Amino acid sequence: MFANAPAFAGVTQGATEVAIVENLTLVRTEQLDFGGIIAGTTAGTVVVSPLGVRTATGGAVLAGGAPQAAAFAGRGRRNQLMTITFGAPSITITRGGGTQTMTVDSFTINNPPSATLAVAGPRYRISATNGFFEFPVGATLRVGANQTPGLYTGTFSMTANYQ
Amino acid sequence: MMTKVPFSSVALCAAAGAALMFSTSAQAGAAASAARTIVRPPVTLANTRALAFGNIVRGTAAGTVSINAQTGARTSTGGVTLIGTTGFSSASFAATALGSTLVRLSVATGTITLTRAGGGATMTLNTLRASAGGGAAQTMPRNYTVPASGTQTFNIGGRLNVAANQAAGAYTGTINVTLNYQ
Repeated sequence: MFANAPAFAGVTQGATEVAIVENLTLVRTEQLDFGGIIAGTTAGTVVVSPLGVRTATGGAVLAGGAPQAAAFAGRGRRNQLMTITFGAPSITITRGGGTQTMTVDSFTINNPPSATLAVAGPRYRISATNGFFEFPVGATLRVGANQTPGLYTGTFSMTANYQ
Repeated sequence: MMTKVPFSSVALCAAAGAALMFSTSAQAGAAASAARTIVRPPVTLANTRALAFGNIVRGTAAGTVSINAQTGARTSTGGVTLIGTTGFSSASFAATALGSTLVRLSVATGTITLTRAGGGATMTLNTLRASAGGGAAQTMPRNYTVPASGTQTFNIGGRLNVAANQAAGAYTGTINVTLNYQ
């Protein structure tokens, strides 16, 4: 019913990226980045909270970089109910040029997810007048003992089901 | 890593199917994000040479002795007279870190106290400067990009402040230098 509504361009990032958020879609506006870490002789974890706060446990040590939570944006209509689902409960990220892997799990949306999404049972209710919403996603990285140095990347997906 | 990821048509269809459980008019949007991290080897920093001002003669007026971080040259001002042509040097540190990454070199304090052996007098060391790989002397803290080889030498110089009629003797102190990933 919103097929003819104009696209809502609401999110910019850096100097080169603009996310065009159309009705009843979902776009990723920020990438999940755990930043730089140093692996210890024992396993550890690095958590990036939905608010972008980074903490480490066990043998993992935080070592600079530019950590940030992921963020996704979409648009429906005010008071529309929706669910948000993760593509998988955990993903594997792999070292560039190698075969070493780490697991990323415990994907977390803030609760409440943002000022414009309210919890409505297991679902969310869009509360912004213009129907636009954006929510951050944090996660936990499992770092192995003596994890091989390098750049590790992987992909996770989110789905918004508009009802 | 900031490439915009297009929608996955496969995920879109799957999600739309699931949404039918709630409403026949439901629509779904799916998006993907990268997850990334850089695992870095620990930084190592080893002191391979002390900062030494060599032998000097104090004067009846205050003065200074400086060691240039880049060249290692020794100079003086005021009532200080330099003795000899050896026995002085900049401090040198050998660092290892992940190549081509940003590190930050810093000193714990900008003013260091040197104490006379046997006590009775002190001098201060300040105006600390660092030279990375023979480059220009610069203030700290400062960010440096580690060479691709993953090794870098840092030399540190400074200025020793000698009081008028400074008590004769050997003076020593400690400089605490830190290197961290940025």
